[in-house]
Amino acid sequence: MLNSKYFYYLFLINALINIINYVPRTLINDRFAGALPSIFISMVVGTMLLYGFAKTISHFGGKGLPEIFAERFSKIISLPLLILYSGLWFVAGIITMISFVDITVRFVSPDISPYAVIIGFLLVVSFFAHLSEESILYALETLLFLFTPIILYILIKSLLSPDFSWDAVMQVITYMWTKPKYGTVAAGTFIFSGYFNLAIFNRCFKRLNTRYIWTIPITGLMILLVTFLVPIGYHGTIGVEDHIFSWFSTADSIRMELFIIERLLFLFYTIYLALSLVSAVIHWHVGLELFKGAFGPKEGNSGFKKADWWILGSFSLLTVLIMSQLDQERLALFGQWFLNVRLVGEFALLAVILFVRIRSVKKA
Amino acid sequence: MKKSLLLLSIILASTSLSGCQFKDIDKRAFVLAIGIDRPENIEKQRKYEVTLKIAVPEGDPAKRSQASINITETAESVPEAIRLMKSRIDKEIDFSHCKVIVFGESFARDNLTPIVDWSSRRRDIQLIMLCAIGVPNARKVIETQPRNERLPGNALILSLGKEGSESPFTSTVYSFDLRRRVKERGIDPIMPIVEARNPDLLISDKTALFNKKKLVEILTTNETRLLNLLRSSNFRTSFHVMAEGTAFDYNLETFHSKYKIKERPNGQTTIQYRISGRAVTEESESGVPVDAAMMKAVSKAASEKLERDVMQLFKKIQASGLDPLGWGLRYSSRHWNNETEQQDWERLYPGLEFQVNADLEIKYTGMIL
Repeated sequence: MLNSKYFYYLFLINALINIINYVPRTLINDRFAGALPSIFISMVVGTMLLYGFAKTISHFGGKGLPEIFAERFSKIISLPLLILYSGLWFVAGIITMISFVDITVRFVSPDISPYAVIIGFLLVVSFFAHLSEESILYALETLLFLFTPIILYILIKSLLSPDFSWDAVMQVITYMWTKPKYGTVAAGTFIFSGYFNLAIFNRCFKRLNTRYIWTIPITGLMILLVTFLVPIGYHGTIGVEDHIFSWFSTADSIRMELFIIERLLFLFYTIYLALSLVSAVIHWHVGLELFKGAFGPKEGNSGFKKADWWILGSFSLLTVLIMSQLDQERLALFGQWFLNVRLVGEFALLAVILFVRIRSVKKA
Repeated sequence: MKKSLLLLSIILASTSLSGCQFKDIDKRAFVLAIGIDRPENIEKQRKYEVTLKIAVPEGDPAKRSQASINITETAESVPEAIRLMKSRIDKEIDFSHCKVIVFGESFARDNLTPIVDWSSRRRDIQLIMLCAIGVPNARKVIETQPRNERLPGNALILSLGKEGSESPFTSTVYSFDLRRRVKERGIDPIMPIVEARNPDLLISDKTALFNKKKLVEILTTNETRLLNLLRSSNFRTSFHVMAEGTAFDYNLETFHSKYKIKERPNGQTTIQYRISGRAVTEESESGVPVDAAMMKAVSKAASEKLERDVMQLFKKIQASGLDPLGWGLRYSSRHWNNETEQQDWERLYPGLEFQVNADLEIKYTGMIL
């Protein structure tokens, strides 16, 4: 059983990784048409989902979603539900990896075949995704401890630069009273989606402590505003829309005169390589455990080893297949569709878990 | 046995993946600066003349040489010219260390936008590349090699950036800033002008103002200094001023400028600048001791002169119809009527009035009175 602080790490990794998963792109595309109000709405919606889910599942200490479902539902209901959510979370990992392959090929080594890169990523992610929950959380903690200070440094550096245009930021802020859209709200709530990992990682928490949960809306709002506004400060209100990976272009616009390397881009790339792989590991671990859980309760670690590899292997194959079908335009569309579907899925999940909770309270 | 066979086959299979064209560092030619011109030959006027300054790598780090090579090629487009250059050099041309881009003056007077697109589209070209206009042309500027230069291309990099000499007459502009200004509504591009003079001198003391597409106006040395003063805070420079019948030089220690756009109900719009700063006397020409009364008098004269000069600069900018300081962007960022603010600004701009309030204070007299 682990300390509840690991829950906040799960939130943080999802919040930091948003720049890979097309959140800034979706928001920036609608910067004159509802992105800013959507950010505030998604803070409220995201926190509600997160709080509702975390609070409810904390009553089922030490149990993941498959165990909870096994107690309350017959297999006919739990099987499709778990497979659906497992698929959703596998897709989350797939998008992170494929778009990071795109970034790698674009910024770091254009000469290498994207298939070589994705195979490398898949080997790493598959290998670590079948480790235990505890090991993954410890690795997550280490990485966040190493990289959050550097990310903060980059952020402060970017905001203090005289080349940062506050007028451009203010100009976008004047578009506050525009009508928000579902798509931008869905993108904004992705920041808060880290709680979904509790579906499996709740196995590690005896009783989730939600005392510091008020920090989450504040951090989330800050991260969303930074995600959205800093690229605008660097590329202007009009110029920003042409950048495919707005945050990587932004990192390339920040100079470090007197530090290890002048081009911040490479430092930024390295950090996000590590973060997006660990995020993909977490998503795939949840996907894998939900998938296995759909077919039976968690058994001893031994018997299921082979099944792990079959599941991970077939999803890896699926990843390569999906990648071969996507060009830049379709990948972005795919990413945005995932964001849209995910929000509906999260509402449904909250409803299901509340239903289970109410039933178990009545029974007791 | 089975496992080791599997491992072996994986390793063998992975060798077939390594078909990528990774090139070692000694097989790359690092470009340090790009220059882009229109060819002088009238028949080729629509073509692009590209000059690259390429470093010659040394094996021995102790033996630094300034050696570099310059290649020039003319073609229908910049990428095409670079392809042609590849056939003239034995190594792979690598732009990842390119730090300066120079546009020839005649080229800048024509149309800049294709190059702005090209340089931000190419993934290996940095967005923190320094931009400048080359006089008489980019090629001359790129080829000039000042004698105090320690590393190839470094003189250009140091004089345009802020690491080396911090000249008040050089406006530092990075390529992401150039692109932002080209695209943005309400702020126009600017670039420093670098002049190559015989035999090996590089001078950058003027600033070119652009509309969204091409060079329209050139600011003189003094105007450039004022523009830079207004663009940045805590700017270091000195000014010359006449007070009480004798000349003084003072040096700015701290400096702040801010402005507001004030709209009166009668439709008259005024840009109000407030400039404040603290300064030190650097020279009193006729050796008059600078006492308290004198300091006050010099402060007053300095403030008044600065107000006059800045006013003159604003009038010149307004007459050119450009917006290098981003007033338009400021105007629309403070107005919530997003549909009409753009047209409003365009209507207001020609009739803008300026008000400059300078408050310079000479606080110290230096080491002597």
